[in-house]
Amino acid sequence: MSWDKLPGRAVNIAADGHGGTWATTLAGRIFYLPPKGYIWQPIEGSATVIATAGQQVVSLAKDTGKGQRWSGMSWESLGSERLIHITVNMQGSIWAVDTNNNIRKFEGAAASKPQIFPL
Amino acid sequence: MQTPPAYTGKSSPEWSTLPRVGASAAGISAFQDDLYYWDTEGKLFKWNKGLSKWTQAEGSVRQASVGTHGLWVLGKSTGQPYRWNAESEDWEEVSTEPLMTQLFVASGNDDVVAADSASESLYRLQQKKKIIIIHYFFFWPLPHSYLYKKVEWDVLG
Repeated sequence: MSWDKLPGRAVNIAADGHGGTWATTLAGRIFYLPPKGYIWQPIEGSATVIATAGQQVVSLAKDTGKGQRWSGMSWESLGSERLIHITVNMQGSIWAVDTNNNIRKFEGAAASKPQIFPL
Repeated sequence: MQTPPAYTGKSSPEWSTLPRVGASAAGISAFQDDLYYWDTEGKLFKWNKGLSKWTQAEGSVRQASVGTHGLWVLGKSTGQPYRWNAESEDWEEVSTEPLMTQLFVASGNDDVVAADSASESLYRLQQKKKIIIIHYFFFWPLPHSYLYKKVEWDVLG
C-alpha cells in the first residue's frame, strides 16, 4: 500500500460516498474535489473538522466551533453547542465531542434531502 | 442502529450527552452501524450494540476513522497509520511514504484519504482492479485462459 498525492493543500480531509473528497485548509476554507476530479471547488462558509458518510456532510464552523450540516446549497446550523470533533453515519445520525470532552448526539431533525453535490 | 442511550445529565435541546468510559473524549467516528470514540489518553472504544455499552478496543491511538474499508487509526506515540485486519484480528502497518508526520486519516465509501497537517499535503489510497490471466496447460498446446479480477491496493496514476 502506498499513498498517492492529491493536488492542493489542506489540514483536514474526508471522503464521501460518491468518490468526492472534502477538505478544509488551515485558514478554515472548505473545498470539494469531485470524483475523478483534479480541481478543488471552493465551498461557502468556514470549517475546521469535516466528516462525511454516504450523502451526509458535517463540519465544525471555524469561528464558533458549532456543528453544521451541508444541505447541498449551504450549511445548516446544528445548534449552539461548541464542539471539537464531529462525525456522521450514512443514515444521517450525528455524534460529536464537545469542548468539555463529552460525547454528544444530535437530536434535532434529520436532513430533509441530503445532497452531497455542492453545485 | 441501536445507539448509546441519552444521558440524563447536562444536555441541550439539540444535543444529548452520552455516557462514556475512560478519560475525556477526544474524537469520534461513525460508519453504518459502527461507532467509535477515542479519549485524551489514546484509548479507543467501540459501541457494542449487543451489550449496549462501550467496550475498549485494542490499540493506543491519536485519531481513528471507520469506513467501508474498515477501521484506520494513527498510533498515539508515533502517528504511524494502521488499519485493522479483521481476518488476522491484528493491526496492519500502513506506509507513511511519502513522509507524513501529522497525519489525519478518513475512510469513506470508496477511498481512504489522508491529510498531513505538517506539510498541508493530501493523499489518497485507491483500489485498483488488476486482471490476471492464468493458463492451464491440461490440453497443451491449446491453453485454456481464465480471467478473474483481483482487488488490491496500488498507487494511483
